[in-house]
Amino acid sequence: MKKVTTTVWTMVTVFLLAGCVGGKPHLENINELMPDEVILVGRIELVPPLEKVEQELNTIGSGRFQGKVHMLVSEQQFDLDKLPMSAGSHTLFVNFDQDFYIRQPRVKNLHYSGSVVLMESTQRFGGVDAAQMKLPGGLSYTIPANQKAVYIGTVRYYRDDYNAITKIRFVDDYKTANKSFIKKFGKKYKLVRAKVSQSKS
Amino acid sequence: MLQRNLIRILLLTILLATAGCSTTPSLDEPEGNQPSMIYGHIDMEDAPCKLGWVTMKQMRPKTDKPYYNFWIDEGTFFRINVPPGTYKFDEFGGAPRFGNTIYTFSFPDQGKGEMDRQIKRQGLYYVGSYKYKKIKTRFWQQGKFDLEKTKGPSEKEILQKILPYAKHPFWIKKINERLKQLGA
Repeated sequence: MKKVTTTVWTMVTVFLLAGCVGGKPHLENINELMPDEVILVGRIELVPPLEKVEQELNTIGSGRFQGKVHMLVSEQQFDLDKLPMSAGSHTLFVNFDQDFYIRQPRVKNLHYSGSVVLMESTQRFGGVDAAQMKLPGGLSYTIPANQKAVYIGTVRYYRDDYNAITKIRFVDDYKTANKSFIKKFGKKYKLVRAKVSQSKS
Repeated sequence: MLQRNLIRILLLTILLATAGCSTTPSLDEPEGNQPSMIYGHIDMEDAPCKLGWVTMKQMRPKTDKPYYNFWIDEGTFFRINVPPGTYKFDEFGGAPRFGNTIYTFSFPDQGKGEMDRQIKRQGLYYVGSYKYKKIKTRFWQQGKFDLEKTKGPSEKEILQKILPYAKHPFWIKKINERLKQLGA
């Protein structure tokens, strides 16, 4: 049995627990959007959905991770098993099953390297016991030039009883997302689809 | 989680205070509709500590008290009254005879491991015998380990080791039935 793991005494989820909780800023008011920024609109889903009882978040401040996920969406590509300390600043810190609206400096391309869910953060002798659920990525988005609101779609993950990911679906739910976008921000900017492709690694 | 930490604190206190002594396992009255027993063995000869504890997590049905602890007897671990469900081994560890370092080794957070079981009906569930192997890492890297499957101790030998702890006729009968199947 090849069962290579790491000891728990050192912190596993350093970047997640080191204050890099927030990720890229969410947009609340359309007038806050800067000239060199775009809005990323999308969603991440987990099937079956994450239940509150599954996340053991008992350390100070870890409650902020309840029902949330860090999506690595960046110009850079990352290996989920070798995340640098700076990875937190490349994430979208969002709720599962809800559309997100994220401020992103304008770039030509973005890569989705995967996501990390904090499943456990508990204090114990001399350290923190941490566990994660990793959701693989591998998508690239081409951001349309001269557009301010960019739809990057829904990534839907299916899992088994052991939290192994059994299937991944990219879902284009533009119509629904656009309705919600107009309801929240009005018609100042038109929501436009990003071109989605598989990342070349 | 609080429950697991309290149990761990208690276990460690006992471990450190008694320096080698341990509570005596006792397979008493079965509880629940379909109480199962889970058992296996980890040879810790190459590990920095003896086997002091093993914990297993209930994945389905979901519960706010998902952790199960095991009795330990020289590398053999066993636990009774496990209800039907899906289980994943969470971690194991122990303290060395001398020194105050406590070692914990965690199983992967995701995916079904070789020891993990789905219990659908009452029974005795053998999860295997393994040997701890340390994997070389650079000094600044986290420690890594592997559990290699071994031929011994066999299921029969493990059950023969557990049998004296069976106090209730239910467990004595179940273990003897299984031993008979194994040719004992």
